Amino acid sequence: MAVSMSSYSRNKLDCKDLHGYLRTLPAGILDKLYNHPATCLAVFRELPQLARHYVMRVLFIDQPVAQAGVSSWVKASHQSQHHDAVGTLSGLRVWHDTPLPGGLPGWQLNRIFRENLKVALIGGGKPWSSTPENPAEGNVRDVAFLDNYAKERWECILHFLVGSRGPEALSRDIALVLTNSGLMKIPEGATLPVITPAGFQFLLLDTSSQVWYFMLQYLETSEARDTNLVNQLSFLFQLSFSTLGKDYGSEGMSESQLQFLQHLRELGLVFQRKRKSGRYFPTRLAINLASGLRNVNFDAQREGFIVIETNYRVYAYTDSDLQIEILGLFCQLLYRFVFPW
Amino acid sequence: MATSSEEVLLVVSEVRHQKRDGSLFFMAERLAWQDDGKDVFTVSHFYADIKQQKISAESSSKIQLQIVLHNGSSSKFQFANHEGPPSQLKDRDAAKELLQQLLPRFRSKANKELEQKNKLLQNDPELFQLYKDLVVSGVMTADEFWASQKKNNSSEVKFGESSGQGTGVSAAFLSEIQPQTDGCNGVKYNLTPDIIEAIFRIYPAVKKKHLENVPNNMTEKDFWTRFFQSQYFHRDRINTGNKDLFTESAKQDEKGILKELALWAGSLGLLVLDLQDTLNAAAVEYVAATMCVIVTNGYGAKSEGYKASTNQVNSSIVKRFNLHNTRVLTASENADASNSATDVLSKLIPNSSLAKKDSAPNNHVNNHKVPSSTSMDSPSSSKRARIQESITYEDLKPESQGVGVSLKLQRTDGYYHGPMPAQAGDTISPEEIMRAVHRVQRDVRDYRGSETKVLSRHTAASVLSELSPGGALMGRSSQQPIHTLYHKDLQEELGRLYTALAELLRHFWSCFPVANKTLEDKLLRMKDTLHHFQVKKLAPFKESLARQHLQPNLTDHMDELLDTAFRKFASWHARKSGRGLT
Amino acid sequence: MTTEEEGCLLVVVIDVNPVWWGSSPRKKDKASLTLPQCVDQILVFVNAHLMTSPQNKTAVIGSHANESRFLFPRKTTSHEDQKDVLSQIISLDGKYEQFTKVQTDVMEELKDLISSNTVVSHTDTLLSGSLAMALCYIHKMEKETGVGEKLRSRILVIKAAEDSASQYMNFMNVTFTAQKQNVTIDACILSKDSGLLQQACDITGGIYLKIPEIEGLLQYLLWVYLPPLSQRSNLILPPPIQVDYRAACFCHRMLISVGYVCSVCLSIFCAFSPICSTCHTAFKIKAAPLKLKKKKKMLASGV
Repeated sequence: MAVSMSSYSRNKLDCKDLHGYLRTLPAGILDKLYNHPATCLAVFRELPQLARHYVMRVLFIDQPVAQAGVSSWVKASHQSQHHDAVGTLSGLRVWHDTPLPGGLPGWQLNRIFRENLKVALIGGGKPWSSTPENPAEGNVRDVAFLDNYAKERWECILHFLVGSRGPEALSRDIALVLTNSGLMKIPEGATLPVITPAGFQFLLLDTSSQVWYFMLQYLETSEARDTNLVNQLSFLFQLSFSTLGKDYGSEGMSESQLQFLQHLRELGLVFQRKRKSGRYFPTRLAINLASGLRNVNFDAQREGFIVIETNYRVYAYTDSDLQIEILGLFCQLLYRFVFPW
Repeated sequence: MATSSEEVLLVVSEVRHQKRDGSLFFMAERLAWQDDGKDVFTVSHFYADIKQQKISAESSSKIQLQIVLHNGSSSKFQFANHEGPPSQLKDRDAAKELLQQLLPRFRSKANKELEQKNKLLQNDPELFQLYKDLVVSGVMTADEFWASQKKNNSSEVKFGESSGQGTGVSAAFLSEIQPQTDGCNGVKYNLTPDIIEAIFRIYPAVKKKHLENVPNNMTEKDFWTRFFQSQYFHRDRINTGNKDLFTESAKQDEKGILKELALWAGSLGLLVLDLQDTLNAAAVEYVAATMCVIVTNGYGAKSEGYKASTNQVNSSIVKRFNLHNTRVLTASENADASNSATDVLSKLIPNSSLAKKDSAPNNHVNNHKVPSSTSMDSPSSSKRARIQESITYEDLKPESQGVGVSLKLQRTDGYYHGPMPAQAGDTISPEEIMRAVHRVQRDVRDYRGSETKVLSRHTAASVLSELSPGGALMGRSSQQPIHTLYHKDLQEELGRLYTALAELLRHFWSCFPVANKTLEDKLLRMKDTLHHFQVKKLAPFKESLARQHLQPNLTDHMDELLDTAFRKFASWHARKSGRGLT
Repeated sequence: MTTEEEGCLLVVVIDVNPVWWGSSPRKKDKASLTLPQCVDQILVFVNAHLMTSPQNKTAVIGSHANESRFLFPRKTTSHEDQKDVLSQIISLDGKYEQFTKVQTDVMEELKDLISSNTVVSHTDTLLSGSLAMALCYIHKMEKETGVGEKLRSRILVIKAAEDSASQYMNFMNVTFTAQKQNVTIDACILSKDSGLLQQACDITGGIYLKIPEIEGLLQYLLWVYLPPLSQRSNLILPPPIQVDYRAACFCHRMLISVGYVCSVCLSIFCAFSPICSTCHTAFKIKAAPLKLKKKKKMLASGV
């Protein structure tokens, strides 16, 4: 994900994908993570293609499978793919090396992973979230509204990053995340944080990558603050598999989870009418979060043109404040006009 | 002794061969030397076998003639006329002249055939392989082989004729006639008949002059000297000498170009042709340029501002290129014997008179369709036809509605059934149907989803064993493709055997139905050949397979083919003998 | 992090012929599955396909003796609006919601299909019609894909009853259309071999498999039919079978390898007759055809 501005900054923006992130977690946490079907589903989808099929083939089989047998499933010319797949599966602790009764080396699926993946596929476990009590409430939100809301909230963060809004625009926690992650820093002698080169690169990513990167930083910060990482990550994955436009109930969530929900609300990943209302609507930012699918529709809302001349004059056609602010970081705004249409 | 039917062309007596006296006889098809004391010819060579003759150097004391054969051997004859060296020389020269005339005639015939064959074999490695397999190993004789090939390629290759396109004269050959300095301020050109022929082909005007003047007005030597001295030959020089024999030839060439142009340009061209005698050179050029423009619809030519060419050297070079190209085109046209592919004009495109330095006149030919009505007797109709042709394109016309016949079927049930074999279906009674339907409805109605028990692990494990490589469902054959199992040499040998066998079988099967005696003979011969093949080639191959412990089923198909052929022969033979008896 | 794989549209055509599913020889066999159990297994497979990639799509068609119907996606009737549809997707047992939707939709449609068709007039499954519907759906979905997205499609046919010979023409038309549209047809056979499907799989490059035990249907499906087309060349899968492409003559319905073909209607006969029985064209041949010539020609071409 590193942008080619690396020559301007000493460190590239390192945006890990899901697997990279999970590999950094200790083994115990990983096992706890696999306790939720949503996590298993997310991890499964990120596996290389061949690894996915290996998992599906042995999903219903209890005993370990011989390693030689598994390597015989693939043609001899594609053994490199086989090695990649096996390596990934072992690195993520999806399966373990288990010797067969006869002594040959074998593999067996991580029991927890297997159980929960099966639950995701065929059911037989607990529901992920509670259903709201009164489904037919008057304030059902349609998709357009949710998109708008998400866009507005996320741009708020970006505005803060750029420095055009004051410190009261964001809650303290979020601001702390921004500074802790290196996207902003507080120079000496000032109280307000200022954007860093890494922050510039962050600005130039597409929205879904931005959200993912931010959430990772959030989780790391929260880890440092010793909140329940596993719960939050599971909840994030659960969100990413929700259906757009549907509401979900928030009963039964612990206090820390509700706090997390509020942060998500601030970031624009969910929408809640009131803090106390028992339902929330996931927005487009949250859905498919872990898989990093480029959400073409969302980015297409930001239209505009930029013309750069060889005499270093820049002309920009846009109506987004955020973009004007970002430009203001690089260029000196001389004139600003309003177009008649 | 010479046979009675041979006519003797020349006898030279007192010719020594291998230190013995004798006489040299030249017959119609061979030369022979007879010892004086003997009655028979000691040495006899067919002219066809003689590769070349050599004479001893001028300064040597002995007057000798050496005959070199194709197979490398040679015979030396010494002319020992007792009257002395001058008469010896005369004898020898007479013999040499005769041989010189006779040899070319015979040389081309025999040589060519052999050369043809060799060339064929060299060009086609498969044929070569086939030849090696069949002839060299004795399965088939060489004559049969070539006979079959000849029948095969009768449309392509004719033995004894030149194959393919006639080769032209290379454009650079004139430069190959290197003058040799004579040592005393003269220049000597070596002219062989080949070169002469080539010159005639390039410059037909020269040929015409030659016909006119030789041998009436001047000798060959004179003619050629004048030619080489002429401005025609050294056209780079700009000085004009009207006294020259060949100035006209230049004019003729230009006339030729104009004529081609005129063919294309129709009526305007006719006008120009009429006028060209009255116009001077510059005017002719101008008209030619305009015609170019008209005919090519103005592509690439500057129609306004025509300037007299300032650079005459370039224009002459260009003119020469054009001439050469017209020759090439007419040659190809004659070879085609059809009117389709002449576009002289693209050669003359347009830079010819305007002397652009970077012109590259050697464009490739683009095949315009020259209307076949190039005859000048009916200019109006040809013009109309040409105009019509230039404004319509076949591809752009609306698609013509094809008049088709619709399919009318009388019995359609079988038709819709298609070529499917009849299914041995169990007949089910209607009650049975009703019962089945009810059963299913009940199943579906009462079903409670029990998805978690959808697949037990034992079943899953057993399926895994079935589907792993080597399992029950995976087929007996290994997943390795066959071409990796066997060595490359083995595969190549197998391929060669297949090619040879296919060729033989083709000849065999082409004999049926046996209509006449020749086919019958051929059939018998082919059967023997096939038998030979089986014994000499296939059996050793099988043995070699067995020695390498490989499965012999690689040759099963070939065995099957041979068996079918033999069976067919047996049945034909039985029927024939049966018919013969009754 | 971005998935560069192309999405795959899987259309499953299930043969729900009640005559076969409810026939008595099957009932007596303890190890056989009932129709709903089988459909359950198939649905787990379909969900596994959806699970593999977020861009995968699916459709399920039920092929009955009376009609063919889309089991998934269901036709939404006009009086249902988006809200109701969404509220129906409730997962109570930890299954991913989309999977639940697929499950419930298919089961309900199946129930409706079976219960509404109480009278069955003929016993052949309308397979060619279902395949045609599948191709139309694929065509529509391929048109709807956005710019920059790719969608490969394949059809999986799960066949229970026998072939219906009267559908030959339509079946071959469907097969060749699928070949031109780059749609692969796979076949999973539960009972008797089907010549038509063998040909279809051979022509479009799909996998044909006859399952020995129906209980392990899901594992067979997951093993053989789950990998997408791009992966199939890497894995070792059951080898393709020898397809018998011989035609049957129109007069006796026997399989022949050498025969006579009418040049007008292309009907095949095993013996010479002066008039074609299908289109009544008269054949003008000067002499009686030599069986000899034909055999030699065939052998020569076989060489």
